[in-house]
Amino acid sequence: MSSDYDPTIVGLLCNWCTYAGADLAGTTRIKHPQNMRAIRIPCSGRVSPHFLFTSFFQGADGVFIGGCHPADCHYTNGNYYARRRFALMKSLLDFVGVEPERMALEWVSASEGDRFAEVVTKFTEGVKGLRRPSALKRDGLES
Amino acid sequence: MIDSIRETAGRWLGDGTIDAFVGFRRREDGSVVPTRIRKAADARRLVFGDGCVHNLMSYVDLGGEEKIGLLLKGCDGRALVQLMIEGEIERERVKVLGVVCPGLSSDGVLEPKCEACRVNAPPVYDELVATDGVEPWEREPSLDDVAAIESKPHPDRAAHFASEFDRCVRCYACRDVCPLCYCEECVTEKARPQWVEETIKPSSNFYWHLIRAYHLAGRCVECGECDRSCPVGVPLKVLNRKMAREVESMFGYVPGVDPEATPVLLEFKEDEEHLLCPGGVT
Amino acid sequence: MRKVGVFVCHCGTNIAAMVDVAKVVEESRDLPEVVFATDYQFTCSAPGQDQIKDAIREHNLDGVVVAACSPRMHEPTFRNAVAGAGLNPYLVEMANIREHDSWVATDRDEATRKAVDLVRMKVKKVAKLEPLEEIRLPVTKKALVIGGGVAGIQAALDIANTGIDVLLVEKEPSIGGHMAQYDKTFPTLDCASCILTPRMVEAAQHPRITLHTYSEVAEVSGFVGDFEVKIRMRARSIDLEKCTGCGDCLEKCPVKVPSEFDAGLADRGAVYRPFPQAVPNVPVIDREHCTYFLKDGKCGICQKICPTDAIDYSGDDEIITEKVGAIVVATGFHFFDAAKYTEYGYGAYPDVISWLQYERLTNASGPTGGKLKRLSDGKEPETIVFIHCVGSRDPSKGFPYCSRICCMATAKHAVIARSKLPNAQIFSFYIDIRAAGKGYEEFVRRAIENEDVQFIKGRPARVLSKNGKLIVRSENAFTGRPMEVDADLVVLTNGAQAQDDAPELALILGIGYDQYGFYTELHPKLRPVETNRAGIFLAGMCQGPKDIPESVSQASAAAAKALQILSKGELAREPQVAEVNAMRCTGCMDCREVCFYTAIEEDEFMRRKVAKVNPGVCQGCGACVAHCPDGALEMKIFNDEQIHAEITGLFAVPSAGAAGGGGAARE
Repeated sequence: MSSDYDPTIVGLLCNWCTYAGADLAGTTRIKHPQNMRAIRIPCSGRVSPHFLFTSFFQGADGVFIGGCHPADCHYTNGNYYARRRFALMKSLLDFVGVEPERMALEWVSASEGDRFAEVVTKFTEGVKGLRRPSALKRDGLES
Repeated sequence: MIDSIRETAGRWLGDGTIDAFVGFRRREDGSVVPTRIRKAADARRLVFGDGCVHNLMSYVDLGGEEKIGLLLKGCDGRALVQLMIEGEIERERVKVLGVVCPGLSSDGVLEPKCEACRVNAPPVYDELVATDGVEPWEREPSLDDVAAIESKPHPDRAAHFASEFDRCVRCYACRDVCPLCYCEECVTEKARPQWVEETIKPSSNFYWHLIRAYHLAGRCVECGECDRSCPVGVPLKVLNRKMAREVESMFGYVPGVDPEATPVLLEFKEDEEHLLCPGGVT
Repeated sequence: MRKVGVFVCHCGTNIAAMVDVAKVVEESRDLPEVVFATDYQFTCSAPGQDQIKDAIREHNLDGVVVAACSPRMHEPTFRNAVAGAGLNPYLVEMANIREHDSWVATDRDEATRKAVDLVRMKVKKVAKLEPLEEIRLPVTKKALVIGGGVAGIQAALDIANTGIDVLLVEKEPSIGGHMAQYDKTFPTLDCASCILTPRMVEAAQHPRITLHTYSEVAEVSGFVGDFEVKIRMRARSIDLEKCTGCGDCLEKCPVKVPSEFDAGLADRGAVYRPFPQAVPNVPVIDREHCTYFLKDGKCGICQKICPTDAIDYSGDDEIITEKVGAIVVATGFHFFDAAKYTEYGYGAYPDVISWLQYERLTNASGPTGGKLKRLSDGKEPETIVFIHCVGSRDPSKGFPYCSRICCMATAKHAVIARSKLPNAQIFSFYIDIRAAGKGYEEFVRRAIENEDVQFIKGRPARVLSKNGKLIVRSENAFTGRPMEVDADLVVLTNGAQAQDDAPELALILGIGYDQYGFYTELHPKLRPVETNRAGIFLAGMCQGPKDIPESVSQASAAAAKALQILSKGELAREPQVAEVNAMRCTGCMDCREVCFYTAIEEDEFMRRKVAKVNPGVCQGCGACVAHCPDGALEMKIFNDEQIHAEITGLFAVPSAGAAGGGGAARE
């Protein structure tokens, strides 16, 4: 199954920077892998651990969070809180069996369409490189 | 030692310093249970020693107004300090009779929660009862349980936890016994949305234990009560111990030690990009 | 169950060329919530919007998904469209199948699959949307301007000239700020007083402006549109109504105190006004130095000679409470203390002087009547040295930042020196010349080329006093060699720093400040005059070093921002705010800690402490919602239930063959 492993990635993109960066990647037609399904959120500081846990148990192979660069948060500090929370979520998930390649918090500004395509490509390839679905999927746990 | 515990508790109750004292007593069958006494005369029934494993901070009504005397071991004392950090209890409301805990055994074997102990005397107290031949200490106990998990490849880790959590009957003893669990309503009872499904099945059991571990990250004082209370032997404290080490290495924070500390998720530094770096803090 | 309509846009070929639009419509019909689904060439066009409106009416839709471009592009369009059909505007969601799909995909099947997923996620989300109303907040049509320097005066006048009342609060006895102390302004060499004093008078006489000098803001509560402000009016000891400003008391006061306005070059009495053109032109009694107050009622000369019986020793500080709708902070700066550079001998050698002392020394209304002379012996200096960056660009002794205005001020000082002393030798030691501004570079060139000012790149190491001369030792960075100048007068251009009490006022106002004490703007590029607290705006130096034109521009910008609030009877805003479910709240108040906007306060619910969100202040970032350990915080828009629905919706693929509720309504 390795070569046709087609992962599903949940994207949680902040409205002001990364979601807009993704829009710009579109406007400038920068092609990139299409495994991610983006959910618009107001700020990376809005990301609760439930968003990651639910994504993984429901069947996600990866969760990608995008926020404004440090010092550029639309809400000033949301991304700093997000960074601490994400670090904890990631180490916990890593410990119980989710490979670190499946989780990322990246900073992409509204003007970085190219960077958006680049980090999403890198992330997607990282997940694909694992060559197996996430072990936390509900269907897998309950099969 | 027991004499000075009884003397102090009796004195505090007698002179009105406190309204109630929470300690331990022995039942007729020989077992030891937590007890709350209100009369100085009852202080003679207090005991301390093997079997006094319970975290007495779980018996404090956080919203109450009574002034309470508490017999606290190191682990219990850390729970008090963490509750102070979180603004859930004021130091003035409790009188702490600390004990330098010798480590508790059952049938001659050291309790697993005591194996994992990091500090044997409470960080704050009003009076401290010495134990013969035991000095107050702090130490880094063995992390073999954490290392055993980390040595497994990721799919095996998930399979391991899934099989352990499979036994969970969702009785929530782990939650109810935890001195740091004080939400008005648990996330498991939340319906809109229902993040944690109520049904007992592998994915929802797994979810429950994950969110519990996250909720306690940076807060758990490693008293091991969750583990000890689980009726079906789910190894719970390994998750909390792992997260405690992560919090300490990321933020230099150990819960329940410094009453003036700020909880890790209530502050940030601008230059913490290393938290995201692969190869940095994992 | 909600009845959802799905509208898939072709966007010409922008979407349709890469996404099989018909298939997206088809698949969406399999979802139980979907009762109607269709596609159109340009859904955002008038006929496209009509298609939505018609369907809402015809199929009683109570939720709409438009699969088209980015919601950042057309969400307002479709909110309006559904509102036009009588549906609550917050019951529409957009699936972004253009920017996030057709424009970036390379495979038609893959792009179509993605579009189907995105639509399904939005349908599930729409099923959880709730009808919302805009938040409306009442507005008190009055502004508070804190600080009566040139920025504060400008902001006050701009607001008052639209017919709105303004309170202008100034802590000194007179408005005017630092600009009133200057001799001339760069690069035009306009006389500073000549341009400033008419504005001061205009502000004082404006029917819409109430002036509170010798006063400070003590407390601010409430929120945008409805602040309550307590102002402490220090006891002036002179009745503002009775005093005619004749000045008799000033002459007879036996006390001598170094004048702050004249930078210590002259004395003032205990009863004083900072300068003759002061506004209001009513003196104050400085109780810390007045004999009457220091020696239990002895003296009293001013009271005896006052012809209008205006002197009142008995009054105390008074606190008044006012309601305002918006606040402009223009509290300015103070000059860096040049004495911290002991190697330059400021304070030790009388002929080493500061920027402000030089201004007063050259000012025609200053203590020497504008005669530029040495303080030690009154002689005209033959050699003058200016030293830039005293306290600026120097993390070790001063501040790392550039004070921005000093290069130009020094050039101005040098040109003024030349006009007064045609034969003097003038040196100016600089690190770099920063002359970015209209006419600025030209002005510096004029100083160098026409006024014979020798600009030397180098930071002097020491100033020594020897035989009545000041020896300035420096490196000349161009020659790379050390040099010495025998000077008669050394002027230190000390930089700007935040007011010492800036953090204190920031706490009162609930606004942020940086490591230097300058107030922080909400966004460095796009919201440069707003603060984290809605309804409070920044003008002038309190936000960071800037020159007069910049301060005045920022003041007008802050006034315009304040007027956006004050010109309305009430404020309407998106209901994207957090809410507390008091039943679940344990009152830990963690949310208050993570809230940057001070939108969360304590409340009581069933005799328990709980948190409460002020919807007027909340900006809807959700940081508190994600943190809340009790799950007691929620949001309107982007709430947990909606995000949960999107995540689970992605994986809720209808099993093959299962007919959805939309089957009956195929078009």
